[in-house]
Amino acid sequence: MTLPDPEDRLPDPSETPRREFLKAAVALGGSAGLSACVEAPAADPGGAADLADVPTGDPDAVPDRQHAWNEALPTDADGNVRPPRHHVLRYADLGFDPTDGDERAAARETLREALSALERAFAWSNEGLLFTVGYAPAYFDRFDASLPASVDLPAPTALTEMEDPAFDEADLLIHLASDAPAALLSADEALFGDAGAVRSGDREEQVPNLSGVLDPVDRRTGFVGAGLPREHRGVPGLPEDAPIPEEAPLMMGFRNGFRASQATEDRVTVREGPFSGATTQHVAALRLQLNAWWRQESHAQRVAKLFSPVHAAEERVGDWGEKLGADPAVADLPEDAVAYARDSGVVGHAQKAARAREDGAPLLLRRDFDTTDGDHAGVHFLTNQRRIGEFVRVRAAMTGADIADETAVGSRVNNGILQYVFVRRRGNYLLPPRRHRVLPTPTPE
Amino acid sequence: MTDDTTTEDDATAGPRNGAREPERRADSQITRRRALSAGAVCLAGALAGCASEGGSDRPAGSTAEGEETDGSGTGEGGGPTLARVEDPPDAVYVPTHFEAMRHLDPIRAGPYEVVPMVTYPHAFWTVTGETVERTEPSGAEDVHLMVTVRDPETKAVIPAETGLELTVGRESESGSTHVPWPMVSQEMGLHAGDNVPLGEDGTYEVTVRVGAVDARLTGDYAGRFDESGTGTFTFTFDDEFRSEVVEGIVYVAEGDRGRRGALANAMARMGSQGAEENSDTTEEPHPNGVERWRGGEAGHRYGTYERAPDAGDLPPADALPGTLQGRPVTGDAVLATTLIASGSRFVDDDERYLAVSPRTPYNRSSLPMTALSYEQRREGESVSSGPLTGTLDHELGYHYGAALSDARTGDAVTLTVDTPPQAARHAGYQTAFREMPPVEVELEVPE
Repeated sequence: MTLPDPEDRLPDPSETPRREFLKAAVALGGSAGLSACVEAPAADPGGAADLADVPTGDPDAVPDRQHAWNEALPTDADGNVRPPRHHVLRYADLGFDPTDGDERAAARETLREALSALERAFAWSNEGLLFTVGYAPAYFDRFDASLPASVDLPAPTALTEMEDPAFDEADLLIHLASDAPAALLSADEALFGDAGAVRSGDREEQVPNLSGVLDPVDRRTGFVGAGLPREHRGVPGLPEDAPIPEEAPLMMGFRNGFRASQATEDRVTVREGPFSGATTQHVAALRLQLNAWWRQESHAQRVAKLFSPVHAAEERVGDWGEKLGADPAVADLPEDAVAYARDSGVVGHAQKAARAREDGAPLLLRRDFDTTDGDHAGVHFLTNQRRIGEFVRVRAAMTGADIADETAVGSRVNNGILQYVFVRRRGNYLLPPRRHRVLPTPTPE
Repeated sequence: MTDDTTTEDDATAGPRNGAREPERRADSQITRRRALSAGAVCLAGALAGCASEGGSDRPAGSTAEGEETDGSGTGEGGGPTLARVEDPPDAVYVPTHFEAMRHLDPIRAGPYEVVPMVTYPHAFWTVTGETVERTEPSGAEDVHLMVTVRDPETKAVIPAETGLELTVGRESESGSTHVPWPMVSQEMGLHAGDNVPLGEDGTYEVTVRVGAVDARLTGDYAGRFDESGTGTFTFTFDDEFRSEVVEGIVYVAEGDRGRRGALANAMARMGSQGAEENSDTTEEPHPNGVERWRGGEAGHRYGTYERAPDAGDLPPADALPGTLQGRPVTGDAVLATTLIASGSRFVDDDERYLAVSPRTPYNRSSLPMTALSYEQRREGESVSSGPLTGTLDHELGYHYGAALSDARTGDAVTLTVDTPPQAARHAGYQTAFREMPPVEVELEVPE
C-alpha cells in the first residue's frame, strides 16, 4: 500500500488546533507523521510536544503484568482512570519459522532488545509510553504443544446473529498508547520503520529493526479524551454538527470507564499455570453511524439508550456523564431486565452489560478508543478479561436477545446502542506476563 | 405519555388550498443539491402554493442559492405558509398530502424480497418507550430511504427488523451503514426507513442486509426466515429524481385534513390488484366508531377505505383462522383476537391458541414491536395470565399468541398493552397507538 502524500493528509498546522494536528499525525504515522509531530509548535494539554520533554524510562520499574496500566495512568476528579489519549494497533505476522530453533532464538533476541529499548527510552506512563504484545490463537497453533487449560483463548467467532465480522488472524498485536503523539510515533517508527533509534529527554536508544522478525499486516489508530471527538466531526458516520460536549471523550458524547463498571486488573489476570500474570484481550473493530444518534435522538433518548430509561427520567447523567462520578449507577435498576423492558419499551446499554457481573463485580476491563480509520467513524473496542469466554458472556448480555424476544424492544432499535454500532472485525489475543512476552511457546518454562 | 408532538403535520405540508400545480417546473430552482436538501420540503410547498398563497409567485427555492429555508414552514421572504393539521385527534387521521416516491424494482436478499423506495427527506416520529419525538431532516440528509421486506412468494410484509442494515455509498465504494427505523405509514404500511446523507449527485448503491425474523416462526414460515440475506440495489440521485419526488406530491382537500381516516395504502399501485386493493364496499362503521367517508385527489384515495381482503400486511379480522373473539380498539389500534381450536400447529395437542393481531385501522398494517399480555378470568377468578409471544405465521401474519389450556365460553380475557408499538410513525399515525388502555373480550369457544 502506498501511503498518501502527507501534504494531502495533514492539515495546515498554522490553521489547525494543535491536538487535532497531532491526532492526524498519529493516524498518518510513518516518518512523515513523526516529523510533523515533532515539528508541531505550541503546547498540548494532552502530552509533551517535543521528544525532549518526554520522560525517560527504567525497565526495572515496569510491572510483570503487561496490562498493569492503571497505576501508570492519571485519574480524574472522581477517581476514574483516564486512558492514554492516542493509540496505535500494529498487527504483524512472524517473519521467520518459529519451529526452527536458531531462527526463533535470533528473533527472540531482536524483539527482546527492541522492547527493552522502548522501556529505557520512555517512562511507563501516559506521558511516556504504554504498550502490550499480544499473541493470537493462530500464533500458538504454529506449535505442536497446546496452551495450558488455564488459558482460555479460542479463535474469534461471530458473537451475534446481527454480525458477519472478518477475523484478525495475524500472529501478533502490539498496542502502543501515549498522551504524547511524538513518543507514540517514535516507538512505532522504530519498531516498524527505518528510524533505528528512539529519542526522549536527553537519551537516545538504539532499537533493532524488526524486519525479518515481524511482517506488518495492518496498522490501526485511535484516540480517546476530552475534545478529541469533536475535532473529527464531519467524517462519515459522525455529523459535522454533532453537539458533542467539549468534555466528552468519545464520539457518542458521554464518558465511560467508570471505576465501578471496570473490572480490576486483578480480576482480569490469569491466576494459574505458566502464563500466570497474563490476561486475554479481545479487539473488535466497530463502525459507528451516528447520524440518527445526533440528529434524530434527543438527549433523553440518548441517555435512555446508553444508560437506562431510569437515568433519563431521573436526569442522573448530566451532559456527558459528569453527574455519575465513578459509578454508572446501574446497581439499583430492576434485576429482571426483561420484565423491566416490557414496561419501558427501551433498554439501556449499561443496564444490559451490568447483567453479566459476577457477584456484583464487572468482568471486563475496557480500554476502547474511537477511530477514523478507513475515513469513517468507529471504535476499536479493546477489552481485557481473564478468559475470552467471559467476554462472550458479557457480549451476549449486551446483545439482549432475550429482551428483544420477549418485549417490544427491537434487536437493534431501542436496544441499547445497537442501532448505531456495527461489528466489522474481531480478534482474540493472549497478553503473556512480561517475562514471557517475547515469542513464547504455548508452554513456557 | 410524554407529548412533545407538534400539531404541525410534517415539514412537507403543502399550501392551504391543496391545489396541485404541475405546470410549475422545479428544474431551474434545483441546481444546487444543498439548496434543496433542507429546502426540498419548502420548495415542494412553494411549487404548489406559491402562485396562490399571498399573491407571491416566488418559490422558496428561488431564494439566493444555498440559502436554506428553515423547514419549519415559516419560509423566508414571504414563502408559503405550511398547512398544518391543527390539534389532530389522538387517533389515526388524514395528513395534508400524499408523498411521492420513486419505487425501485424489488430485489432478493437471501430468503427475502426487498422493495426499495426513495423520496425526499421528511419528518417522522420516533418512539422510545412512551416518548414520541418528532425528528426533522437536519438539512444534511439527502433522501428518505425505505425498504419493505416481503415473502417473495406471497408478497406478505415481513417484520424483519432483526439485523436490518442499509449500507449506502457511491457505486463501488464501501459506503456507510445505517439501521433504518422500523416505521408505519398510511401509504407504505410497515417498512423501514431513515433520512440519509448522501453527497454529490450520482449513482448510489445500497446493500441491504436482512437478518433473521425476531419472532417465533410457525406454519410455512417455520425454518424459512431464520437466516440473514443480502442484496443490492442502485438509484440515481440527481435533479430529475428531486423534481419527480417533489412534483409528485398530492395534497389532500383542505377540509379533509385532520379528519379521522387515512390515506389509502399506495402499495396497491405496485401490486397485481391495482386500485381494487382499496375496497370501499362496506358501509358499517369502523370498530373504532368512525363513520365511513371517502375522499380523493388526483387518483389518490383517502378516508376510511378498507384494503381488499387479499391485500395488505394482515388478513381482515373476520378472515383470520379460528373463531373471531372480537375486534376491540385501543389507542385507535384494532386488536383482532381469534381463538384457534386444539390440535393446531401453534401449541400442544390439547391446548387452544389465543392469537391477537394488532393492526392499524383502515389499512390493516401490522404493528410489531409491541408488548402485549393477557389475563383470563372466570367468575372473577384468574384462570391464566402471561405475556403474548410475537409470532409470524403464513396465515395469521404477525401476531401475538399464547396457549390456553382451559378455555370456556364466557371467560373474560383482558388484553393489556405493556408497551405501545415502538415502530416509528409517519404523519397521521403519531398521535395514535400511544395511550392504549386494556381491553376485554369474552371468549366464545366452539364445542
